[in-house]
Amino acid sequence: MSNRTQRERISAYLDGELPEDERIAFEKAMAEDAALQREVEDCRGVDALFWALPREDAPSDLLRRVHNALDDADERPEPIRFRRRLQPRAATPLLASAAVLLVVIGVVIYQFASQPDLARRDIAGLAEPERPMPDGYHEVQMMELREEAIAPLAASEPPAAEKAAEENAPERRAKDEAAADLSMQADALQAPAEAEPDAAPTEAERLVIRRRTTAPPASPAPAAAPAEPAPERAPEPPPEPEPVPAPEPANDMPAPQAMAYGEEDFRAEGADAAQQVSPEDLPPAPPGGAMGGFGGGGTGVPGGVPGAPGDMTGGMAGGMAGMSGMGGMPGSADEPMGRATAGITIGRESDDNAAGAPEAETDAPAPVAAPLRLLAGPRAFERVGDEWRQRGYAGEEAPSIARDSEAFAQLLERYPELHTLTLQPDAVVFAVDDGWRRLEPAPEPEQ
Amino acid sequence: MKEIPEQSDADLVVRCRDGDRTAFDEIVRRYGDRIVNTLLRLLGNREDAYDAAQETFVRAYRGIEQFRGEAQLSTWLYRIATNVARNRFRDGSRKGRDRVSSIETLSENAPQLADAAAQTDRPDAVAIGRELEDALQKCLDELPETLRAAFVFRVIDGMTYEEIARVLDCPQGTVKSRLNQARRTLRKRLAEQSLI
Repeated sequence: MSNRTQRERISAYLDGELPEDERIAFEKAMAEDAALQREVEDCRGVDALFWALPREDAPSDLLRRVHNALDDADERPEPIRFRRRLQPRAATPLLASAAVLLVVIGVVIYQFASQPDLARRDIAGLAEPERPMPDGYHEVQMMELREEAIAPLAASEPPAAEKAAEENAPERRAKDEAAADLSMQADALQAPAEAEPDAAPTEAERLVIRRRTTAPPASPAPAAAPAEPAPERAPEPPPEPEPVPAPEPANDMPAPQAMAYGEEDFRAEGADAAQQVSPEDLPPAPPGGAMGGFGGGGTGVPGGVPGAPGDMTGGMAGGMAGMSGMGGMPGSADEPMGRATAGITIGRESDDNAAGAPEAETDAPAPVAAPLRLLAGPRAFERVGDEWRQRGYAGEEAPSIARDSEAFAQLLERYPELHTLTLQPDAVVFAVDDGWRRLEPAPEPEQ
Repeated sequence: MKEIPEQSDADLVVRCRDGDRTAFDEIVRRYGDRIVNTLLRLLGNREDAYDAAQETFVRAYRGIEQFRGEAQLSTWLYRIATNVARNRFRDGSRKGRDRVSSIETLSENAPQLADAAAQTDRPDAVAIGRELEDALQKCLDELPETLRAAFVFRVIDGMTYEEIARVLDCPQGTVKSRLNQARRTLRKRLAEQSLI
């Protein structure tokens, strides 16, 4: 056995912990190795010195000190320990609250992350509260949101915009006539069999599905929105929109005069603002191309499409769809679809709110099967099983909407794979398996 | 006069669990000296040892319900004392040393101390002086905590390897290794001071 091994056994030998055979072997090695023997003796001396240290008795008052410590501990309230506070029963509400808070924060962050332009606007709005609202797409969206929120008020009492509109009665009448014409065309979808073969163009002829892959050609302004002189703007630009424009009580919303903005401005810029908004004018598109164009085939329309909301309160949700991340707008679940007729309802109000369309008319590449949340339209529907449901703000599921209109049925018949649909004031955008398609009224034939 | 038989540790524990504080007092009296002495060697000064001993028995009183009796009461108390000493080492709550001797002072008197030790046949009969005690304690203090505990339990308290393993919650092989390393370290330190 090596000396090293023997040296490792010194302690065990001194403590009498070596087995008998090992002890004998160790003593034999020690007899043959003077250094090992000397080391053993030194270690024994170490033990002797420390063993000889004087024993310390407990202090005479140890018992009293212990009693005092125990009594003091009994009198003191027991310290609250972290572990106790986190017992399951007590911790559950706390943890649940924390989880809810985290989710809310995450949703808000996600919304702003997915809409960097909106985030910038909000930040800029904080820094520059007096910044006038620029012309363009986003202003339209925000106006729409505001209009959507003040819809109850608008419905209950004559808005200032209506009063202003009365002053422009001749123009309004011209628009109404054009709108009525389009409404009639849409109504024709309800009863296609009644349409005369030789009569004016059928719905299939008047509505086209545009497969937009390049810049849209300059299309003539619809008859419903002829070029007009510069409109009268509201005295002041409308205030910046709230970052989270969830439906608020109507009495909390801005004054209705802001409604005038959309009508006049968009008419001045072109009745179909969508046709004139260039990609450069648009704010950055959110991820996934919510602002992008829509792909889709461009042949005839099989039939009508669900009517857009028939009043101004119905479809003003363009910005919300993209911002909320889920598409459709809140508050519209209870509203009937358009005028409960087939086809796109292009009435006066819808025409006024044609500004909701710009996001659908860009030159951005057509997204393929973009998720619903990227839709930017006043209303969004998605197929849930065999049922179509309208999606509300931030994914809130609104009650199912009866999709019993003939036009909708026809659309589904032609595109059974249709899984997402959003209604805009002047168009229907829907998604099928191979991309997005836009359904909008055909321009009025040139006289 | 009839002699009252001494109660076993188990009986004292039972009585203590029943709320009999006199039984706990008996435990303190029975093990107080040993615990204080061990803590003195582990911590290096009396004041700390007294405080630690008090804390040890307070903890024992509060935790007597958790004592299952699988180990000896002494082993359980030593274990508590070791944890108390370890906590005091780690949180730096040890108080100032009450020793005044230095190694240099000790070295000056080393020949006399060594002679005193050599003149006896029994180690326990060594008339060890205060300075030597302080020097030895300093050597102990310089040992790593784990080595010191093993050495104190074995050499000063006379525990077996098995008992030390239970107190320190480690294998006996570890105890053996620690003891060997502690002895070699102390031997070297004491040899440097001509104490052995």
